[in-house]
Amino acid sequence: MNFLNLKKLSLLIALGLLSLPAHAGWLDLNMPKGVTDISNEVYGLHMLILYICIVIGVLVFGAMFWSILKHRKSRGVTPATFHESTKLEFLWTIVPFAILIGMAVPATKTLIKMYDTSDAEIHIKITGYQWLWQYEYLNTDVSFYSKLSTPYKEIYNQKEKNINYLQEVDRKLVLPINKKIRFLLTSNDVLHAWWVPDLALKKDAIPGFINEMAVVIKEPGVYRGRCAELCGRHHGFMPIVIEAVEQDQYDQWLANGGKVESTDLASTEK
Amino acid sequence: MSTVVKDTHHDEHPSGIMRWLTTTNHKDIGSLYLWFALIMFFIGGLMALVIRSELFQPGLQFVDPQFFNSMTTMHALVMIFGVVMPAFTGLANWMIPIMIGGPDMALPRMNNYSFWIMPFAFSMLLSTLFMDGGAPAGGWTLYPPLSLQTGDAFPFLIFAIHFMGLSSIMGAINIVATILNMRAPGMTLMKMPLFVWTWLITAFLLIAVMPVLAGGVTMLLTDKFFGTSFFNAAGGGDPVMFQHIFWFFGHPEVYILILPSFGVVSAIIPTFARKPLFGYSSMVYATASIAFLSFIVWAHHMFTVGMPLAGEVFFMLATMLIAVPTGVKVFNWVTTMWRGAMTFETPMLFAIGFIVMFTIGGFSGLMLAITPADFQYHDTYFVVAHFHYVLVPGSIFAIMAAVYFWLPKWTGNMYPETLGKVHFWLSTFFVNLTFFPMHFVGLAGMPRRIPDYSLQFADYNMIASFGAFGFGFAQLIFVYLIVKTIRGGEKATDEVWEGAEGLEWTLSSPPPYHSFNTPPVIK
Amino acid sequence: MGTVKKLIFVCVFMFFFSFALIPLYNIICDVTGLNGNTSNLKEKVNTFSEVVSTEKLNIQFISHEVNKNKLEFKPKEFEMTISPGKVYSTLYVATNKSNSKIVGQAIPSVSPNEAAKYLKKLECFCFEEQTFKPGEVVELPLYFAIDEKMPKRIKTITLSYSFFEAIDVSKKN
Repeated sequence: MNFLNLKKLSLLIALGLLSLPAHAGWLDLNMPKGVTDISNEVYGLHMLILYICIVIGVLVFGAMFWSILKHRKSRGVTPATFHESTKLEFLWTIVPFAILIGMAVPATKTLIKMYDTSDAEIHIKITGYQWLWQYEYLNTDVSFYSKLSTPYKEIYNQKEKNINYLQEVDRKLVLPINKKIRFLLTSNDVLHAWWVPDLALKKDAIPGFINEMAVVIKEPGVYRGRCAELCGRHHGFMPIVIEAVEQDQYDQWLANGGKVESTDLASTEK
Repeated sequence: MSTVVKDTHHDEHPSGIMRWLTTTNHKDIGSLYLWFALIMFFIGGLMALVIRSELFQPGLQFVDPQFFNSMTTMHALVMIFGVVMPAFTGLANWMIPIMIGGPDMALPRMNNYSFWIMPFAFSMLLSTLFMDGGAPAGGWTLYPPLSLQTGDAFPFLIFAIHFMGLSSIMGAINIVATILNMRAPGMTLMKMPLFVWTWLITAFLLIAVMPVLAGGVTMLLTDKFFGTSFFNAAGGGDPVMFQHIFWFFGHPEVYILILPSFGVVSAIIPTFARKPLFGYSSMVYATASIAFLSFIVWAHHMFTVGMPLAGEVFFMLATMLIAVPTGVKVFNWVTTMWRGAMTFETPMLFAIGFIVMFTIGGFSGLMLAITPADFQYHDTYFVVAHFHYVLVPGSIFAIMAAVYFWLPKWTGNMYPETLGKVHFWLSTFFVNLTFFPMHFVGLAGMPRRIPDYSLQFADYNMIASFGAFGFGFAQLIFVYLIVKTIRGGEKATDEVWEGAEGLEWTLSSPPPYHSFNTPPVIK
Repeated sequence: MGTVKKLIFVCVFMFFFSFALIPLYNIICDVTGLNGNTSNLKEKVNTFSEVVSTEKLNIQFISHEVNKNKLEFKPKEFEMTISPGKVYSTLYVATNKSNSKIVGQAIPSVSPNEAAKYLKKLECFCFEEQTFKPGEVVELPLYFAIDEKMPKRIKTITLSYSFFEAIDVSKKN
């Protein structure tokens, strides 16, 4: 077997292992990078802290398993008697401390960016209800409810489930790309949380109070999210679907009073 | 037959059921707590299996979403208040008086009451399953306004929590009083075994925070029935305030569930490494600083409620700080093993499993501390994976390690070693099969507490469900093994383990009903 | 025994401490604007200096109608450009669409939260309970100013009112 074949084979095996659970690739195993600058930064922080943990883990578990292999009674070793070392204790207090400070700096920087909601051009009020979302495009007449559109037959296993099972809604939230959008969140009844992983946005909707967050979406596309705070019986059944479109499409959609189905917009475009 | 003579000499305790109802003996009460925890472990486990059955495949198959929510809520309450806490209290009852060379707990009569409140409280809690409107389904965190939508079960839930709290507080007071007043002459604080130390600190945490929980749920009760508006925006309250109160209790509570495990592991590792514990005093200080820090990190459970930037940064930093003393503990254990002469009996296996998997849970905890990343992790299966890693192969494994470690002492018989090892390896395999995939589905976007999910999460949920059933069945071995060891087996020596040190190993196996009536001499 | 007495005291203390957390939280909120709740105190005009800042900022008004079919509750204008230190006024309009009397109160919330403590209200319908007769349309005035001490980076403030009907204890179950 020549070198090339071997390489191919190992690639196949690797791919096979990755696709072992039917349709889960590496991307499905990890946090999405998302489509905003901030979501990319968050992904970077996530990977950084993960790698730090892996390195520490390899060192600590490495030392432990080495000791498990070598320092066992069956190998006839006599146990040492040391039980103190101020130097060591000092070292492993200071080093993790330094690592943590190193970690906190970039995290704080990202956090500051996340908290900057100034100079937004579009303001949207999101209200959580048991169990649907209401979107109001402030200072326009566009306002609508958005609820799960998956048929009951699919939920109760009488019909085959479609690919967007439990992550499809009757009316999508249409947003323009490359514009700063500010969301104001509140709730009509109990706590909800509005979460779209691709935008790295998650915040609680609290009755009587408003919360805010802002986003600039970089790429057009459909982004799906969910309610992330237990809100009762149908907590698992109030998804969020965003359609990010070019500015002119958005303007057209808004001029139509948000009535034209956004999917139609996208399809006429293509 | 000397023990018989001893018993009749000291007291005439009633036999049969009356013995257990009226007992004030710390060993009897310890056993009661442990049996209670074991029974509740299976009740809570059954609830977990209902959850995992429903999540086996996408779609609703077995239960109504409301009942599903009840199951997640009740599973948490039962496992936390009915399993881990009573199990540790049971271990404390059995071991602390012996370890410090005292004759019994300081307040034996109260000890009896604090146990017998528990079955009462849990009957009340479990009875809500049969009530109109169903069992509580608002999550064990009881966040209003959702928890206020609970039906008839609500007052029963609140009173059950009051009674559990009362029992824990009484237990904790007893433990502190015992440790501070009942030590044998010469047993200075810095000579106490770490299990006693960690329990002393845990007991202080309990005394400080259980009343806060009691206050918080009382306010829920008055909000629901007496028109107060503590957490109701309409009346000038704030629902987020409850979360602050709850987590002011809740975060120390998390350490209440884990600190005694540190004590157990710190007893087992040196025994089987045949080498003294590395850094005893730094272990004590690390435990104390973890306990202190636990009071200033509560808001990391609520990063997404919309706190000011300064608040988020403060709670991120404080949370990361906890990694330092926790790290010190792990490093100390590894260094204790280093250049020892180790053998790997079942307690040691569970203790090593604890260190590895608790550390994995610690890593995901560190990741969760990073606020911007937490916005993505919060309320997803990543969090579920995190706290199950610290609680199941963490606290539960430590409890099992402790049972295997001291069972020969308690019963006088050795447990079947091979079966114990089988139990360990099956548990370890299945616990990872259950909880490791949860990291992935969480990162991929699956929220927690949902009865049904989108198709991309299907594969890992199926794996997790297999794991859960495997883990559940593996625990039947544990029950079989305990019963078998109590009934008989190879006789244990007084020392039981070759490298064992501490006062408990100077007593006979099983120890006399009343031990250390004359205090032992401490070297 | 001394130890036990002390420990019981700690318990009792902590129980009451949990209740004390409520006013404590409210104080912290007032000082830091933690939850975006504005102070319900009527400010006096002379709290403000005569100097009107040249800075401009936007204030938005929104509302949340808990039961839209019964009571419509909306701001008259969505946005105003204002200068800190100066007193402005705006109106909210309430329309009782039901056949019965509605009693309730508007609960304010400000975002970003830290702006809450700089928003001073001289006169507000939110200070007291409101009663709307069936079919009635009422204009509700709000006089306010922004403290010029507010950090300059805050350029947009949103003031939201959620109108809640008064809690009737006898009806509540």
